[in-house]
Amino acid sequence: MKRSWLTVIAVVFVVSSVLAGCSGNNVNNGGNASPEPSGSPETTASADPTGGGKTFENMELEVAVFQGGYGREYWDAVADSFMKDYPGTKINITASPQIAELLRPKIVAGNPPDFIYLPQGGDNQPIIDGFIKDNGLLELNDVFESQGENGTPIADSILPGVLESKAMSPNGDGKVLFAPYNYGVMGMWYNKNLFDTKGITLPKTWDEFFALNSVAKENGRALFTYQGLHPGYLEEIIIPAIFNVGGKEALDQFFNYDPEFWKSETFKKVFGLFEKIANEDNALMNGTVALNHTQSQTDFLMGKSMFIPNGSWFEDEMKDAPREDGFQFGFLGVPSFDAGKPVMALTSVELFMIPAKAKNPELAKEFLKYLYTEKSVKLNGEKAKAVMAVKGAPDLVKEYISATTYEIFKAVDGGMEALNGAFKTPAQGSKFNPGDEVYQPLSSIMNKQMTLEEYGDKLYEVYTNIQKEYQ
Amino acid sequence: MEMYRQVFLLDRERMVTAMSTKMKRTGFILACLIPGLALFSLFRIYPTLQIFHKSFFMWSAIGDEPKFIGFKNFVDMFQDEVFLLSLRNTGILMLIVPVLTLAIALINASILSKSKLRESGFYRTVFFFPSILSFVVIAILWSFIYHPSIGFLNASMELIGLDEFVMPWLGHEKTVLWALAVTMVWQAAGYYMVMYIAGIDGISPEYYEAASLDGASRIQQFFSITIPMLWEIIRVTIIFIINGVISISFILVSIMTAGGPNRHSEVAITYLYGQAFKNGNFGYAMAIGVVVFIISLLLALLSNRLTEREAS
Amino acid sequence: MSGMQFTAASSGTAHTNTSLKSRIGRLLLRVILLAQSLFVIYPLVWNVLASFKTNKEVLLSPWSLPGSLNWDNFVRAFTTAKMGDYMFNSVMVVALSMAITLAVVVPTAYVLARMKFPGRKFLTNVYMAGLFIQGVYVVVPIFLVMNDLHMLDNRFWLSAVYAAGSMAFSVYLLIGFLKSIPREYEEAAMIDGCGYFGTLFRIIVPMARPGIITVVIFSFFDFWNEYVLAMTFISSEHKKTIPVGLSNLFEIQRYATDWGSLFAGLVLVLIPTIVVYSLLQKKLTEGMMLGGLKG
Repeated sequence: MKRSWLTVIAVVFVVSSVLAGCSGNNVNNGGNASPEPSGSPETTASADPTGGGKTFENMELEVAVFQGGYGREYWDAVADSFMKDYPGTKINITASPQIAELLRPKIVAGNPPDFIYLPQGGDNQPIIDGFIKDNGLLELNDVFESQGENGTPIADSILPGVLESKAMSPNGDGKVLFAPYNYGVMGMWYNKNLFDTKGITLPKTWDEFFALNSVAKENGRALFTYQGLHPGYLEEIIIPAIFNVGGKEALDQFFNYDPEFWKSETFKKVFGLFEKIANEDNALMNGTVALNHTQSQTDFLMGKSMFIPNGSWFEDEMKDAPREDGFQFGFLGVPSFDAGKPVMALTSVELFMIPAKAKNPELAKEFLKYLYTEKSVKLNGEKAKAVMAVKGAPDLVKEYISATTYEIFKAVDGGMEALNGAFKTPAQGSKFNPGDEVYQPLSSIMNKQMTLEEYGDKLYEVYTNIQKEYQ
Repeated sequence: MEMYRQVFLLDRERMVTAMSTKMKRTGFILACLIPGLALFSLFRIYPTLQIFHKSFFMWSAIGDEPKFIGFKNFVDMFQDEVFLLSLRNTGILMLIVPVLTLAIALINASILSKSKLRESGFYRTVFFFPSILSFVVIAILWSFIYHPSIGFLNASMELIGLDEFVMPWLGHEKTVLWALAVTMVWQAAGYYMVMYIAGIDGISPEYYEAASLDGASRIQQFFSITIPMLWEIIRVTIIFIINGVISISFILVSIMTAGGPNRHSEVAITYLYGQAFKNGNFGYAMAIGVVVFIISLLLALLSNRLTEREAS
Repeated sequence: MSGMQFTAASSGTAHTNTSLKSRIGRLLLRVILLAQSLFVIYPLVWNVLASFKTNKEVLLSPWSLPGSLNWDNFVRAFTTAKMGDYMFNSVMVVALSMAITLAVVVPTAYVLARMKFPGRKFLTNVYMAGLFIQGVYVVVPIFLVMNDLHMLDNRFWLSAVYAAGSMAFSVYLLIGFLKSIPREYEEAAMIDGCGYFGTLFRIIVPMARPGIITVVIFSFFDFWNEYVLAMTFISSEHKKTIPVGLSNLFEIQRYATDWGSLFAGLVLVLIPTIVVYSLLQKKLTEGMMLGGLKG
């Protein structure tokens, strides 16, 4: 699973609700939660209230999707279903893990596809930023104002705070340019079986976390590993931790390039965690820095490390990978610095967009609406094992996802606090890729080739320079 | 008068035939040159002029017009730490790889052609083999060879009791460039070896015989005959390898390390590519292209000049 | 050189004197050479073994053998990883590029090697300068040119770019070769009324065959293995060539952890390379000598 470096919404929730297996009573599904699977994807066209009868001048739709941990089966299935419900339409799906590279020439040539799905971050972020900078996207407000299948505006069925977030309405002018797709919950994972059988208590604070190092050693494993070659995964710890220590202001400093952030106590406390991991014996799994994400994740499953950060796609991503006997996925979240504060987690939402130069914007919007139907949400659960950022989605797809995943989503569904979680788009012509600037040097900290102080000084300079570029 | 006219007519005929052969000749030359020149101009000459021209512009790809900014890209470049690091990495590779490749290729070539081992054909075939493999295949294979836990390298070091030296080769700032360099040498040494074997086979055996009569050892012969006689070929191959390093390093870095850890394996061309296609800074990327091009040209000239002096 | 005439007489004694020493020396050489061979071959053997392993087996020691032959890996490489499509594209692009290369390079090299006309020297130098301009430097402007002319995501134009890229080297190689053909052949052909084109195609091309084969061999490996340009200029999944497809497969591995089929895919790419290599080995090394020595 290629995951987003830049995250949309930070979520704070109490970990006990995850552990207790939260009841789900606190979520009002607005009547669309039908427990038994209603109708297979083969339901006839006339049965769909939004489908049938409509004709479009152009019946062909070019769809480009990122092929990551969720695979492409959902897209093939939902396209088939749409074509049945809208007879005469033709949807062409292009899917690739390197979709950004495929899109770039088409966008430059002024010949973009009609509909795009991209997760944020990584190679995709420059495409997303480029669209924003160049006003290259169609405004989607009318789609969300229009009525969905249950008679209320589609906007009402989206998770609260998402459409208004900076990720979906990046210019802060109320124009929704991106539509939400799957959301993921991220934090640290552990082997539940190990903790249960050995009676180990889950750490709620960072002190408790580091105290587990000796227990990890007794059990023949390191305390921590991460997706070495891609240190951007560490944001899953960093962002909630910054919020934990410095609150919203500190996060704003961090995402909006205030150089002073790198002199603050928040910085020292949060990034000091990694220096501690690097320096303490047995804390960091050997070889971590050189491993890519599946390699390090496999090592985690094989019992070489006690904790690893990752997102809710983890189980599905690693379904074919070997693991130690009795391994069970357990989700911890991110410990806090003070005993009083709750354990946290981070979420991110993936994006749909319709380019302004799309050849068939009408059909693209219709397709977008279709993706928010119950049928599609379920299909997405079945084929992609994923949860869309739609109210009640965890319950709709409960039968397709694992119990652990379900509980994580239900817990998040409960209490969310929406935060600005994306780096500000750098100035036009900027040489900086903020995610790389911030996260890449963490490899050097882990290798003990750079001290915390050097790192802070370097980033202070980088942030100063990024600021200069705006002028 | 009659006679005179006759002669005149004859001359004209000759002139006409001469003219038409000349035209035919010109037509032939043009017909032969134009298709190639058109292709070469479109995909080599024009793009090359473009990188020089557009390196003076700020130009983000999607949509906007290039804006002339003079030398700013070049000034920025030398304050851009990541670029400087990538340049340094490229430089290190351009130094290590040609030296190691040439040394190994020369030694193997002279062993294989001078020792007359029965199975030398086998070695030749084997050593040459990596140079026909796709760089992508090589990159994928070697990223598993260097794998910290299941990799061949660490496993064999543990096997022979060098446990303490086991390390994540691609994950450490100090080893990553060497690891990439070894992969490049593995790929290229056989290729140059075959070239040198051809060269050595072209050296008259009498030189060696004379030298061994004079009591020169094999090693002395290597330095006093083989190397001087191959000097011209060596000079050409140095330039080949320097060029080769630039293109193969792009593929190895983008597949094996993604420039990590912390950009310690970023090379100039991967940085150029990233600035162009990831950050959309086409003008800046072209300016980087100009600098790398000039540096590699200077390096080629320099090595040519240096080796020339040593030869005479 | 003064010792030359004595060589024959004295070589006999020299041999017996050193025979023991040289035997030890040879043993040592063999050890060194075998160790190197192992170093070269092992990764490939490991790859073939890994292509039969299950995912769990891949993670065990690199010395272990596969428990059973998992042909599945190959099936998946063909079905889910579409190696067949990639291979077809590669063959097509290589064939096209080769045709274009030969069509432009042979006449160009001939004219530059043989005809005298104003600008010849300059033109030759332009091509020679091209030796220093690699694809990676100009990938960005070529991309932009192709974009302007709507040539992107098109296998024919990719082949044309390949051909343009190999021109400098091929022209340089062929000029060297053509210059070594005695002029008398052409003169005779011209007198026989062959005309310029006739002479080129009926006399020169057959005589230049070894040089042309060298060009073909060098370009074959260049085209077959090219990655950067193909990755940048081709965007449709079904038009990708093997190197791009493979790196794509490697990327997908990062999402789906199916190492077995990755290695199977690598083996599938190795096989044609090995076949071509074993068929062409002699020609190839001969060609390299040409390339190296004439240059």
